Parts: sequence; C-alpha cells; structure tokens
Amino acid sequence: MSYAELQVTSNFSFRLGGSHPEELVDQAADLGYTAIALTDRNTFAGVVRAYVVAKDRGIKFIPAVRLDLLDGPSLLAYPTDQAAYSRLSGLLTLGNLRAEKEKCFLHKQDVYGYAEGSIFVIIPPDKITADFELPKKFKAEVAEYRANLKNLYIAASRTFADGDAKRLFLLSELGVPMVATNNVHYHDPGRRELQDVLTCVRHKRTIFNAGYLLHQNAERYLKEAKEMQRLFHAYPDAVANSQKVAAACNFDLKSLQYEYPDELVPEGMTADDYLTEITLKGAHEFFGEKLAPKLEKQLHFELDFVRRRGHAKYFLTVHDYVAWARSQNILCQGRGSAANSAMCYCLGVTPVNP
Amino acid sequence: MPKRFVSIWFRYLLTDREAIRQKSLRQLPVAFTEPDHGRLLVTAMNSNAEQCGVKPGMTAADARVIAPGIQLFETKAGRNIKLLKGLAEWCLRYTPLVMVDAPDGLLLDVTGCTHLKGGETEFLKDMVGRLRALGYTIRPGMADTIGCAWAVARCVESGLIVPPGGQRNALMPLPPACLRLGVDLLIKLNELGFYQVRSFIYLPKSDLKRRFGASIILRLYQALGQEAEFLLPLKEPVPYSERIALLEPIRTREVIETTVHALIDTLCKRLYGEGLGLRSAVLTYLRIDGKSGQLSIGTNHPSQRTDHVFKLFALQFDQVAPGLGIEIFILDATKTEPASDQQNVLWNGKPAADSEEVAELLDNVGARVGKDQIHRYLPQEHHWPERAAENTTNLTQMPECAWPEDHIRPVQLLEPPEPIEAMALTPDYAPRQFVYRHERHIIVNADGPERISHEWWIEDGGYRDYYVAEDEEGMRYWLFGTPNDLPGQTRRWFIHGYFP
Amino acid sequence: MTATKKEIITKLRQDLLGWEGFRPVPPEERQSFGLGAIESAFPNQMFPTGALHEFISTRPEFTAAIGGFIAGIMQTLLEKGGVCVWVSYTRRIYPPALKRFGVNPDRIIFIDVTREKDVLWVTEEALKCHGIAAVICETRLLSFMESRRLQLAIEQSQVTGFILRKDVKHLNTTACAARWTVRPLRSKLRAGMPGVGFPRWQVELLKVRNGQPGSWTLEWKNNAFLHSETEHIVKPDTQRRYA
Repeated sequence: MSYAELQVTSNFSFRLGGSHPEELVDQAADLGYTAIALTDRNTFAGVVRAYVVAKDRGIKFIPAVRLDLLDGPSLLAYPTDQAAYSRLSGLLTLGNLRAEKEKCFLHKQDVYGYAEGSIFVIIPPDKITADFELPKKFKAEVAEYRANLKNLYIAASRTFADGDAKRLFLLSELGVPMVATNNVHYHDPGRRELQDVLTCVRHKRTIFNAGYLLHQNAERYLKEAKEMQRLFHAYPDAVANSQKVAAACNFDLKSLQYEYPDELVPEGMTADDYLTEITLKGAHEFFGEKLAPKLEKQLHFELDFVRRRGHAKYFLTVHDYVAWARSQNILCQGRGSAANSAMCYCLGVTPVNP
Repeated sequence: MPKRFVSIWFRYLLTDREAIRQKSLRQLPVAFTEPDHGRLLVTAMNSNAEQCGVKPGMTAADARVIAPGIQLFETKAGRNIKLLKGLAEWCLRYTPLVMVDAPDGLLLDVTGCTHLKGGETEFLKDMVGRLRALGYTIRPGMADTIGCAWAVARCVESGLIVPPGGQRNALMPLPPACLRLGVDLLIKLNELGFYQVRSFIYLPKSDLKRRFGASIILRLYQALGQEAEFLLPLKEPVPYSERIALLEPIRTREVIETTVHALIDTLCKRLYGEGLGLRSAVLTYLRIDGKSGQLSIGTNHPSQRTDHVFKLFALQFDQVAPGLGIEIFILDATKTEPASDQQNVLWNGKPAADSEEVAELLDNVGARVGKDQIHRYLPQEHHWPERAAENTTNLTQMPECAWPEDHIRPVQLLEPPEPIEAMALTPDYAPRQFVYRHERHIIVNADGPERISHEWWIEDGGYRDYYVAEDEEGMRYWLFGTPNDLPGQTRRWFIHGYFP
Repeated sequence: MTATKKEIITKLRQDLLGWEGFRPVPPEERQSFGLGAIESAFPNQMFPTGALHEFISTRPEFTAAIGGFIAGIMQTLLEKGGVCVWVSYTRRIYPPALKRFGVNPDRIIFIDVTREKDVLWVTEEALKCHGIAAVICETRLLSFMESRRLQLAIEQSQVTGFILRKDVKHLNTTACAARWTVRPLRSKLRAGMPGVGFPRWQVELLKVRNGQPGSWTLEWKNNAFLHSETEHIVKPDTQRRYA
C-alpha cells in the first residue's frame, strides 16, 4: 500500500515553507505517492505550478488550503469538487478583504458557512500539558467542530518530540478519525537549513539567537511510504484515512473556465456573430459605407483570430463596460496590443485610429 | 600646609652595603670599579680609601698604589639604584611618598608625618638612627623645599633641619655645588671666584641667566621655593589608605588581630562617610628587621562592614610571620565602589540585612574554596541538552529567556554520556534491555524517540534519539541512540542521565 | 488527680519540644508543603523547617529521586523569596529538570568544592546565614559531631538544611531531626496511555525526633505531591508499554 501526503507547506506560505511546489510534487512522484496535496496558509496561490508538474509526472494533485483562523485551531480544507473549490476561494476572498495586504482574517463561523463539499482536517497542538493531557480548550473546540462540520478528521503527525506517543494516544481518544501526515515543510532533509534561515528572517533574528523558534530536528520532509507506514504501525487506520481523503478529492484544476454573463449576447446569435456584427457597424460609422480592402482584410483577420481562440466573449465584455463608461463620461484608454487593433478601434474600445 | 622634605645622602652607599655583608671591610680601604675602555676605573670608595687619596676616575692600578691593601670590587651599572629602591621601600614606614634620588640619595615628603614621632627632630633622629644601625653612613637634611633639603644634606657637616622659611639663610654659606648644577658650570663658577651661594644670590636674574644659563636660575629658585618642584613617588599613593604605627613592635596573634581590626575599622568608617564600599584591599605589614609581607582580599559587593572585611583577612592570618615584631600596618583599599542601597534582584523578597549576609557568606566561601567554584545556571535557548543551561559565576544576572516547561529532563546528567550495551529490535523502539556497570535492566516502559539534531550552525553531526526508559524496579533513565541510518556505522547506545 | 497529671505531661512534652527547637508556629506562619499524611509524622503536624534533614542514598538512581523530592519541597521554601545554596563535590545536577518541580534553577547558588572536607565547612557557613532559604549538601560522611555543629548553626539562623548522603556503607547516629530514604517506584498511567508516567517514589522516614516513622507512596503530578496507593508490582511481561 502506498501513501498520500495531505499536509504540505510550500514557499507560497511566505517564510514558512522551504521548497517550491514543483519540487514537492516532483519528489512525491519519485517516492511513488498515490497523491499529494498542497496546503499553504490561507492561499491557493501555489496550486497552478504544482498542478503543471503533477500532470507532467502523472501523480494525482489535490489543491487544498490550510485555514489559519483567528478564533480556533487551524483546519486543512480539501475541496472534493469545483463547487467546493469555489466556496473555499470565496471564503479566502472574504478573509482577505477584511484585512490589509498579506493578511487574512477568518473566523470559525465563516468556515461553517462555506464548508459544503469540502473535507476538513483539524490541526492539533504540538505539545501536551505537563500532566499528559490535551489542553481543555482544544478538546472543547474539537467538540464544536464536530457539531458544525461534516467530513471531519484530525491530523496525526510523528513530530519526534518527547511527548509524541502520548499525544497520538490522546488524539485517538477524541472520537475524530485520524489522518496520517508528516507536516511537510521541505521536500528533502537537506533543505532543513534553508528552512531554519527562513524562520530567522521571519522573526528577525540571527541563527545564533533564534533559540527555540527553530525546530529541534529535521523530520518534516516527504518520507518514503514504507517509513510512514512503519511510523504509524500503532494507528494503521490513520494511513488508510489519508488514502481515503485523497481518493474523495476529484477536483481537477483543468475544469476551471471563464464564465461570462449570458446577457452579453442577444438571443439566437453566437458570440462571434454578434462581435462581427457590432465591429462592422462601428467600422462603417468611422470609415463610411465603403471599407478600404486593407481595413476589411485586417478586421477579418482579427475576428478570425478571436474566433479561433474563443475570446469573443471577452471582447464583448470589454465593449460592454467601455460603452457604459463612455456614457458616464469616464475616460477609457486602450493599451498595448489593443491600441493597435482595428477591431478595438471599431468597437470604440480604443480612441486612436491605428 | 607648607611642605616638608627630607633628603638623605648615602655617602658610601655601595661600600657600606658590602661592609654590611662582610664586617671585616670596615677597617680596610674599599673601592668599586667599573670597566671603561679596557681599564678599570674607580667609581665609589669608602672613607678609608678616601683618606688614602683615592678619587673617583682614578684607575684601579693607581688606587692600589696609593692605598695598599685596598679591596677592589667590580660593580654593575644600576646596582646603586637597586639598593636605593630597597631602601626606599624600607622608608615607606615613615611616609608613603618616597623617591629614589640617584645616584646616592633618597627624597621623602614628610609633610604631616613628623608629629607621629613626636616632632621633626625625633622623627629624623629615629630614621637616621635606624639607618645607621643597619650599617649605612648617611647625612640627612630637612627643609621646605627639595632643593634646600638636598643642599643641606650634601653640604652641611652632619646634616641640618632648616626651619620653615629659612631656605635663603641656610643656602647662603654653601658652595654652588649644593644647587645640583652641572660639572662644567661648577668649574666656571669656581674660576670666577663664586665660592659661596651668597656671592651670586643677589645678582640680577637676567645677568645670571646670560652668564651661566637658565639652569642656575631654576635650581636656585627651586631651592628657595619660588619655583615648584615635585616628588615622583616610588609607589603611587592609594587614595584610601590607613596606617598604624606601633610604639612597640608586636608579635602575638591576639594583638595583631586587635590592631588589624582597629585599622580596618578606621578605613571602613572613612569609606562609609563617603558612601563607598571596599571591593579589594591589601594589608601590608612592616617588620622591625626590614622585611615585609602582604595579604590581599576581594569581595563580591562593596563592603563597609569592619567585621566582614576583618573576617576575610583573618582567614589568612596563619600566613603572617611576625618575626621579631611588626611595627607598622598599612591598609590600602585598592578598589572601591559606591555602596548601593539597591538590593540584588537575586534575593528578591528578603530584607536588606539578609542579602548583605548572603553576600558576605559568598565572600568567605570564595576566599576558602576559590571564587570560581561559586556559580549559577542561566537558561539558554538550545535544544541540544548540554547547552540548555549556561554555567556562570555572575551572581546577579537575571535570565534572558524562560526555562522551558514542556520538556521532561533528568535531574542528574552524566557528563559525558556513558556507553551502554543495548539493542533495539527495530529502529524507533527503545531497547528492550540494557547493561550498564555490569547490571542488566529490563525496560518495561519507554517514551520516545525524541530526536534532537546537532545544531548545524555550531557543529556537524547527525542526531540523537532520546528515550525515557523505566525498568522493572521503577528506576528511570535517559538513554539515547546514535543515528541508525548512516551507512557503515552500527548504532551505539548511551546513558545520559537519571530521572527522579 | 489523673487529669492534672495528664496536663502536666502534655505541658512537659510541649516544653521539651520547645527546648529541642520545635516551636509551635502561629497559624499565619504555617507553610504547607503539600506532603499530606507525611506531615502528621512530625511534631506539631508540620514539616520542620529550620531543621536538619538527612537523606540516605545507596545508588545514583536514588540520589536522583531524592533530588526530585527535595526540589518539590524547595518550591515551597522559595515562595517567599530568597536563595538556595547547593554544595557538592561531584556536580551532576542538570538544572533544567528542576523547573518541573516548580523551582527556577537560576535561584540556586551552586558551590562545587574540590576537596570533600570543604563540603561540610561550606555547609556550616551557609547554614549560619539568615538570608538563605535552604541549604542542600551532598556528602558521603557525616559524623555525629559534625551533624551537631550543623544543628547548632541552624538553631541561630533557622535555615532548613538537607544533607544528601551518598555511597553510605555504615549508618551512624547523627543529630539530624529526620532521616529519610526515597526510592523510585514504577510509574502508573491510565489504561492505554503509552510511555513513562509521573515520578513516583517510596518515601520512608526512618527516624524522626519526637515523631512517628513511616512509609508512603508519593507521586509528583500537577506541580504538587500526590499520595498514591502502594501497588503490588506487576510482572514485567504483562505490562510492557512502548511508545
């Protein structure tokens, strides 16, 4: 049986992850994992690069996110389909809009509202208390999550810290199924030093006085499937659950398309036809009834190009809001290749005659 | 207060020294010679030799001719300075400000010292008497200025005490040589008929300068007291220093202790009055036979308490050898600091008197076992166990970070860790049993592995896998294994500590 | 008649205690060390501070256990401020471990002597000092005369002294107020919990002046002493718990 790594922090979690998404996916493929997810902090930013490499190497990639909340334990969120992915994106947007740049403010309540279709994994504290218990507060929060989220698991990692075994035992008592992860922060153990340096940068210290901010060992890398199984021999269900969660996630990034409003195109016509119609209309307005052959040729070339690429709706959208802006006396200017386009001039998108 | 200086002339310094060694030389002519361009020239001689007509600069051969039976010794340059230094130190019992006055004299600043002996005459008599008793031929001079004291010591038969303000009168009948002038100038003055100071003392300054140079003006004015001249003491005087001079030399332990106690008391009272405390002090005792000894102490905090300082010295009283008797004790406070009222944060919560007591305890203990043996531990943020606590002798520094509460660590640590025989069935497991010091322990419970890697920015290395292991008897050990994934290396096991 | 006799004897007993240095302490000064039933073994039902406690150890594992036990008591002694002095001639203590017993290791002054005979001299000096909360001394030998000297020092200063005697071959009489041994015991955890549990010891009072010797099973949990029932030691095969 192989293994799927569900908790991976890349360098898109700024100053936290020590490897690129591409490197992580590549290494996972080398190790023969069934799947690998990317769970950066409050962002999906790294998924595209990971996706590209995953497609190349033929390994299943799960775009996911780690939700760091203001008022509760962090949650790993895995969308199972496109709708769920939309919801999580919406959730992140909500959090980003509330805060200044680079920050994202999310509450537990927000998550409950956007949870449909996603699988959640609770991230437990690293340490247990001095009397060998989980903090009371955490246990209460787990109870709340259980009440509000379907498809809930809890992440179990072997941190190689002194209370490890006791901690895993206590997690197993919580009544939430465990998922085995390695809390990956870099793809290869050799990257550990870089990751330490990043920690220093993050906290504005030097390596000599970063003290306990640095991790005490270098175990948070992508390990061999065999080793992960061995490390969790006491909790084989946890490893099985990782596979289960991975199998349930069937959202492929490729399925994301642009979606344009329908009202752009009048009934009965295709977007390309409508675009051609209004372009020619505009052309006649500017250049008169008879169009010069050169101009006609250019227009048809551009329209053909747009048709082949399938961007008709895009131009219609632009035309739509430029027209509205003009009606409000708002200045609109075209730039770059648009400024050079006869079609755009005819549409009224750019004011300068190419 | 007007100054008083004493100048002592050791007329026959080197030969007297030799005669002290060999009593028989007193009767004979003795001279010292130094090599000069292949010949031996006489540099110093005793009175017997002088009477025969031996003069400095004469060759040894000539000296032998005019003084038959003369004992000649070769001398090294600088010998006289060495002797004078020793004598200067001996004179410290009279005043702390003593200077070597080459080539054959000493200068003492005795301002305010003479009353201790009952007046200037007694003072000088005492000093001269003791020096003569040692075996030296000397001539003293005392005056308000260095120049005048020097003059009367050199040029007045059997020395003189010049009354305050009486320099001019004293100098008048003396030959120009009393003014410490160069040989050439003296020859010139002699040729011109100036045989006594009075003959030129009233000449206009400009004339003197023009005819004889600036040095004659300087020396004259220095001697008269119109030009300043300073004494550069052999030993820098210590600002806080007290001394006790005893009428009768003391030898018994009890009396020594009482005297030292009183001396310390005087010093401490003085420091207290100025808001200072003692950090280090030196007690010097001068014996009647010329030898001396020293004891030194140091404290952790500026101390003003007589009893405490006395106790620190008392620990060393066994080393004091009074010989035939000690006549002077000198206590120098070599380092003082403002005494602070602020309590050390270390013993927070306890009243002031107690923290003084603790500071004194540490001083006493430090004096006996060595200051370095007293230390504390401060937390250091290192995962590596041997570095988690820093050993420091600083007793007041507060920790800069917190002691971690989330690690379980053994109360006793073995330094260095000791090898044990053990084998774990699989990596990741603690060993089932281990053997240490010929005892086998069967492990029934274990926590771990706690993997701690070497701090890569300090030293190379892999990691240690630590286990908290409990055996059948309930004894709990901290064991670790070296990495087991390095090619060509077998895993080794160690015991690092004992848990409570 | 008998009543008066009883009263007389009680009064005599109290007087004797007073002469021996056990003063009745007013309630507001009473410090509880959390030792529970153990404190009843002492006169006045109080763990005696300002007294000399002797601990006997025959192995380094026992020395470690004693160290933990003493640290737990030190926590209370240091509550009101002050500093501890720990004298030894073979330094093995690992300071970070003391934090678990509620003692900040930087509040202890360690004095390491190179000559064994200096240990008792330093201990005596430290015991005379009013400003010290406790003195711990690691030594092998302690003659009656030496213990008497230490006891006399304490009578003036009321400092609490702990004498940790290691490698003891022959037990002699001393003037200490109490003689203890502390041996480690197998730890207990609730069912299923892997690994090693809380420090657990068999604490024995071998001799107590004017008190009742006894033996108790003690644990250290939640920053306090906890009395635990003595358990029959289970055979190793049936109770192996691994991480």
